[in-house]
Amino acid sequence: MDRKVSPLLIYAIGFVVFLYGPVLLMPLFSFNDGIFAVFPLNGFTLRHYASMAANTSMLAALTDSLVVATIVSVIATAIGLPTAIAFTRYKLPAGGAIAGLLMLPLVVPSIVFAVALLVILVRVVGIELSLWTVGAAHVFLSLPFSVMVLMARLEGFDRSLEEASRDLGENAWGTFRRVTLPLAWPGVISSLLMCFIISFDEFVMAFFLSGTEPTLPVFLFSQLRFPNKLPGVLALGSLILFASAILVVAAEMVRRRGVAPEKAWS
Amino acid sequence: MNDAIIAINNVRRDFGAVAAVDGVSFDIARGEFFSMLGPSGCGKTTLLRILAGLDQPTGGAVAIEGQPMAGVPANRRPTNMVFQSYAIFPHLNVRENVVYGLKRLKLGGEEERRRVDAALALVKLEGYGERGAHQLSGGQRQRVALARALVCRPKVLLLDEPLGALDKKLREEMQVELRALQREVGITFVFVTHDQEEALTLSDRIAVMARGKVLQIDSAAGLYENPNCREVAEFIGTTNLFAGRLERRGGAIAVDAGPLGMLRGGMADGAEGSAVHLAVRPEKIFIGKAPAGISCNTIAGRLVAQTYLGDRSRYLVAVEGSAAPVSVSMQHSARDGAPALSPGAAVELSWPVDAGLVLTR
Repeated sequence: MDRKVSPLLIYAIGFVVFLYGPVLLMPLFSFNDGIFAVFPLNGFTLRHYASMAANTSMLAALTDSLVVATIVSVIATAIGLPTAIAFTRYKLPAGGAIAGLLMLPLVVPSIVFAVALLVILVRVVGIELSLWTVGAAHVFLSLPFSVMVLMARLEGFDRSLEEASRDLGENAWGTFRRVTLPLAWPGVISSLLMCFIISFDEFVMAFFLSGTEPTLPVFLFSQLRFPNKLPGVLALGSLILFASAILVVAAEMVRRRGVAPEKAWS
Repeated sequence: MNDAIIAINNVRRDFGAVAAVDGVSFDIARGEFFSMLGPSGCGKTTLLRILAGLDQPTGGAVAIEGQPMAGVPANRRPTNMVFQSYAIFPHLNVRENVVYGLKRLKLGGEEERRRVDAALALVKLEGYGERGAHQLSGGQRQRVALARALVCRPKVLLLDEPLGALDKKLREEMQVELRALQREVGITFVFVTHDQEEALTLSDRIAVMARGKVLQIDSAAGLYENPNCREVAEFIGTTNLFAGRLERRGGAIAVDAGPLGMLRGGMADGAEGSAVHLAVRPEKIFIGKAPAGISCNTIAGRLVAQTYLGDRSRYLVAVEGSAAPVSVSMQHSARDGAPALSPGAAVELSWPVDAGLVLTR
C-alpha cells in the first residue's frame, strides 16, 4: 500500500483551511469567554448570545434586513419572470439594447449607482430616505441576476411545449399557468434565493440610501467601533452562517431538481 | 374539389428576404391522408405551422371548413398537431398529458375519463395512464402525442415528421398503425415528411415541395409514373435522365440526344427545339435484345457494376453521351437463359417508347 501523501491532497486541505478557516473562527470566538477575539481562549460561554438577544437595536436591524430582502426577492422575481419570458420567447425591437441596460448593474460599480440614486432621490425627487429606498435600490441591483437565472431555465426546455399547449386549445394565460410556470418553478426558487441573499448582504447602497433604520450590514459596520459589542456581532454572525448554510443546501437541492426535471416531477 | 376541408390560397411566408413558402395554393379533401414531401428547408413545416396557427402567413389565405383562418389563434382552430419532438409535458403523467386539451371543455369527470380511456385504447396505451413522461420510450411518447391530439376530436390532425425520431423497425410498424388509425377515426391527416418511402406508403395524395413551392400534387402512383418535372422524377425513386432537344415528327415525339441519337418518347407539350429531358425508370430498361413486337429505343453501353438484390439485380451501365451511368433494374426471371454479365462487357439497352417520359421542366 502506498502511504505517501499526495501533494495535491495537502494543497486541497490548505485551500479549504485558507477559505473557511477565518469563517470558522467566528463561531469559535462567539463561544469564547472574553471581549477580544484573540487566542488563547478563555473558556466556554453563551453570554454573547444572551447579549445579542438583548441588543434590541441589532435585532431590529436584523428584522429590517430580513423584511427588505424578502420583499426585494419577491418583487425582483415577479419582474424578472415576465422579462425573462419576453427575452426568450419574443423577438423584441431593440432587444439587445434593453438587455444591455438591464444588465448594467453587473458591470457598473454599485457605489456609482448609490451616489447617483442618493442625489436623484433626495435632490430631484425629494423622497425621504428609508428602508423603501434601500429596497428599491436592491430590486434594481438584483433584477439582472433574477433575469439571468430565469432565462437559463426558460431556454432549457423545448419551446414546442408551449406551442402544444396553445394548439390544444389553451390561451396565453392558461399556457403560462399550466406549462411555463410549473416548468420554470425551479428557476423561480433559485431566483428568490439569489435575490434574497444579494439584498441581505448588500452594504454600499444600503449605507448610502438608508435613513434612520439601518439594515443589518450597515448596523454591524457601525458597531465595529465599540470593542465590547464585537462578541455579540460574532454570535449573530455565527447564527447567520448557520442559516445560510441551510439555505445553500436547499438551493443546491432545488438546482439538482432543475437539472433533472423529469425525476423531480415523477 | 367540392369537399375540400382545407383551402390554401396563394400562401406566402417570408423570413426577411427568404421566402419559406412562396405562393402556394391547393386544397385538401375531407378524410384524406395528405402528405407534404420535400427536402429540409422546402417550406413544408412552415406551411403546416401556418395551418395550425402557430405561424402567420405574410400573404395569401387559409380556410378550414370554409372559415377564413386569418386572425384565428392556434387555440381556436379545429386542428391539433403532433410535434416532431412530441412535446410531451414533462411535469405531467400520461393521463394528465392526454386530458390537457379537454380540461377547458369542462366535460365533467365521467365523460372526460371515458374519452381519455378511449384515446389511450386507440393508441394501445391502456394501463399506461399513471406513467411519468420520462418513463416512456420514443414510440410510446409518439402514441401519447397522438392520443393527446386525437382526444380533442380535431377536424384536421397535423403531423410534423412524427416518425423521424424512431428507429427503422419501429417506424415501419408505426406507419402501418398510423394508416389504420386514420381509416378508423376518419379524420383528415396532414403529414409532413422528408422520407419519400414514408409518404408513398401512407398517403392518398402527396404534395412534393421544393424551395417554398409545390412542384406536383398527385397519388403515389401518379408521382412515380407521371412526374411533371425533373425534380419530382429524381426525388421520387430513381430515374435516368437523357438531355436533348425536342423534335416533332408527324405525330411522334423524339428527343435529339446528341451522341445517343434520336430517342423516341411519349407525349410532350414543349415547343419544337426546346431543351428537354427524357426520363426512363430503371425497371423499364432491358439489358440485351428487346422483346419482339414492341417499339423500342436502343442504345449501346458498357457494364460498370452489378449489384445482386435477390429477385433482381441493379446494373450500372456507362453510356457515351450521358454523364451519369444509366441505372437498370431487372428481374432475374426476365433474363432466364441469357449469359451472365461481367463488368466491362459491352451491352445493349432498350426500353419501350411509351416508357420514356419527356420532361420540359
